[in-house]
Amino acid sequence: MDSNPQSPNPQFPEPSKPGARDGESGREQDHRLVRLAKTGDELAFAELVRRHERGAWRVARRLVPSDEDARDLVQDAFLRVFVNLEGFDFKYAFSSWLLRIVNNLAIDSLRKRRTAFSISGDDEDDPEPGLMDPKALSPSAAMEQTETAAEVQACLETLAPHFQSALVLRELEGLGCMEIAEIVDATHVTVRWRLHRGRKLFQEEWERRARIKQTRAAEPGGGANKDAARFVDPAEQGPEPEPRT
Amino acid sequence: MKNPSCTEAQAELPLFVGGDLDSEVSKRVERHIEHCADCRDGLAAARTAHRVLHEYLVSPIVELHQPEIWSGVRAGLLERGLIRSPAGTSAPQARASYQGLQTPATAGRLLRLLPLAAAAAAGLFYLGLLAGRSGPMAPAFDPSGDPANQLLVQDPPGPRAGSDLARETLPGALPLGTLAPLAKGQLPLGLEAEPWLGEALPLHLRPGAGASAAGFQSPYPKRADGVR
Repeated sequence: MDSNPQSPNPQFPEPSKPGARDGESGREQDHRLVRLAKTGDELAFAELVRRHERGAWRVARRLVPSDEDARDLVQDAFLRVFVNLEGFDFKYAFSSWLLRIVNNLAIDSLRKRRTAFSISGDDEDDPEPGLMDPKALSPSAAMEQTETAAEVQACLETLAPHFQSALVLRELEGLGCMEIAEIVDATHVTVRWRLHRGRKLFQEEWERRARIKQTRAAEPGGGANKDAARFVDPAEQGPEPEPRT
Repeated sequence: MKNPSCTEAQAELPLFVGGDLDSEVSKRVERHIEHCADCRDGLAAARTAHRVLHEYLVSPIVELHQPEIWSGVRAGLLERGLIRSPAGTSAPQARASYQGLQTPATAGRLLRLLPLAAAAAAGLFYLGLLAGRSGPMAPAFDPSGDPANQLLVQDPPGPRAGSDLARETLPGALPLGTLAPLAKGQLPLGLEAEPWLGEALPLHLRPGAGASAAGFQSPYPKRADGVR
């Protein structure tokens, strides 16, 4: 059986983003595919994978440090989806459910990574600086963009995982607080607080690094900056607020 | 000390730059910033940090690296027995037959096993050489020792060269040059009881070639796909 999910199936419209108000048909098609997949229809599940792999990949890749980790995470997420199809709640969009699984797996992965980071005190997996395609730019511009990407990623990695996931879902997927709340299983107030706190912490870290760079540039002969990669304990980043209604 | 409006505006800046404020609150912040130089500086800094973060997160280049996802998912489903291959074959068979199913990770795991497999093969080959060195090879299937039924190459007289050693094979194997007695349409002594073995030979070499080959029957049932 040729169940290659790369070729779009004209029978099913493309999915809408989670929470999109004009995407009911895509959502219903997803639900139809879920029902078919529950009966063991492999093609239906392959179609679900094809429709949602890109979104899942984008989120996963922003939260874990390498393509390989993101691929494994997304594949694991789809396996979990298949295993738990019986428990799918048709009140929700399939994409929300999938992103919740991806998000939970990514947060687990980030927590393990942060634990390893704090124990070793050394980041062995350097952030991949090639996220922004340097080939399309002049050498100096490419180098600058690569450095900026590495700096941003390093700043992002100092944030606690739940801040990272809220920022990624908001900035990358353009989701609102209610949609993110559905995915991360929190109240929209908590999501707003995570966005607020995450952006503030990111800004502080970004500015701290900028000050360090300026200081180094001002020093004669430069100098090694041992303080550049700073591990920030999640406890420093503040407790979750009490949910308000 | 800042006036309350400044405090409120500064506190709202992280949500303001992301467009996450209610329109009413957002307008109040805007109005305040128009008249407050301090808060304008704060807004510029917040906007810079938000811009670099947003640009980094939405850069589309990551999607160019997106690997094939379905093949790995399907392999995982097959491994766990959650789906069956269309032909009802086992998971490994289905995986091998599915185009592009081997993910880089799977291929990497197989590649890591290659040195072990090579070492095992080399060990077996060396054992075979040692067995060959232990003396003139005994006939593999003929307890009577009839030279006409020898399957294995006998040690030539004189010193043994490396190439000679390499020609030797494990007992039971069919090295080159040993098919001469079979070409007469005879099976070596001891093989008559296993006529199905003749099917491994070309038709003209099978027992009773030309006369009885057409009527040759395998003792094993024939599968629907014609493969025994």
